[in-house]
Amino acid sequence: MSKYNYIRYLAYFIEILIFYVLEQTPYLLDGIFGVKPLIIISSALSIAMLEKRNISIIFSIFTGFLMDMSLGGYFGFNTIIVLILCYLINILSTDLIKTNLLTSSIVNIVCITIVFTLQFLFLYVFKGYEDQMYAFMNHYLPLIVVSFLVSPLMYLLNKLFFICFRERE
Amino acid sequence: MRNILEKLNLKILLGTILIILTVVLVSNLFGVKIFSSVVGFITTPMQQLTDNVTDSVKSTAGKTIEELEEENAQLQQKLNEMIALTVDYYDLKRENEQNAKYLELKEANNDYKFVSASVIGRGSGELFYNFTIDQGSLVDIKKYDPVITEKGLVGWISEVHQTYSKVTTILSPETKVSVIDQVNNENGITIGSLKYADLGVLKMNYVSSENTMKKGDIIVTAGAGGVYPRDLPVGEIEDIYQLENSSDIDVIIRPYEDIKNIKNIFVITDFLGQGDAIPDVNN
Repeated sequence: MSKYNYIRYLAYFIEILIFYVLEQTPYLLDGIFGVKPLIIISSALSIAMLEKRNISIIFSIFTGFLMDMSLGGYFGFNTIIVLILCYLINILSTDLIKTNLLTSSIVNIVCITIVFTLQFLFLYVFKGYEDQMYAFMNHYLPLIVVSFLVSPLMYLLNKLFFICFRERE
Repeated sequence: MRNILEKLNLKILLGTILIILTVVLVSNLFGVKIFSSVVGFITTPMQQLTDNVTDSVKSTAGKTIEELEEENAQLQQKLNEMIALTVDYYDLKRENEQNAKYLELKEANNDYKFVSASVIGRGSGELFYNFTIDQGSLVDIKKYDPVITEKGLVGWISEVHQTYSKVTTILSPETKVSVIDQVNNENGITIGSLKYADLGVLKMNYVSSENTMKKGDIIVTAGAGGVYPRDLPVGEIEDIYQLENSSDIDVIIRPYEDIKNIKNIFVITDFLGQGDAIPDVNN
């Protein structure tokens, strides 16, 4: 493996870590219309579209761990979901679909919806909390929308890393 | 000679001299200074600028480049020291304010053992304003330890790690606190829900239909169960209403502390009666 790959993976690692800290720090980012987006999931999905399978698995696990730490619930829940999604996205990107901004956006909206819907089901509905429709319409749906809105930027950033830090032929 | 006098340029020159002389005569005879004022309006700022530049050049004039570099390095070092002192000052100020609140709480409750902590994280998907603090098991924090501020109860420790812990707030449905109305001793159990959490309030259940509670009554912890100390302020009654087609009553409580914007908290790691009721419950 060339040194450019290592630099690129280090850049991904630092990027995810920085955005995780930015998401968590109170009062640092007020969010869009008061809703803080979940940025790191878009990073993981972009890496899955751009990199090889084993690398996308590693970063999906790392991102899932961070999500488990921040969102609460059962530890490992988000890790498994993100791992499966990134694995499937990687297969699709390798064999079936072109990797560009449009396909990245479609992938992000689908995957982010799946992640938050599963969280809504397992961490809210199945726990028997009240006001389920209210929770989905006023909390989960805005989270989906706002997280999707920042996903193109994350794709472009990771694409930039991919282009800048790779072995020249 | 005639050719010279007829030249246009010479005529323009003579005309200009004539105008100037006229202006001078008018200024001196009638005291009109409008022209000098207009000229001064334009030239004064320029003079100030060149004066400043000259002064700064004078102050460095005569010094070698090495001397200037050394002076710059010394000034930079002094600046860094001042910045460090300023950072220390604000840290000490914040610590002093926390210690003052700590002392106040300790004097009011001799049996409490506290640890102070700061809020370091609020996740983007947190529904009930739960948060993460910067202290953990290294300072004897345990799961289920109550979390308070100087204003009252805020939540409990739901997850403990070595250097950080997660707090579930009283706005969460996972938090059920046995409480009592300080005015008339009516008791009940507080429970959170998302709609109420968004409004910053929680509700009190299991209240008898013949209660005498009213708006403004102070609600404190009952101390039952050994989870929370007795008489910790929770909030005050904001509203009381009867549910439709039911004899149940909902009492809405507004916590004293603004849970959405907490920055510093205390964790009660030990108090008199902590965990006392748990063996009885298990039996």
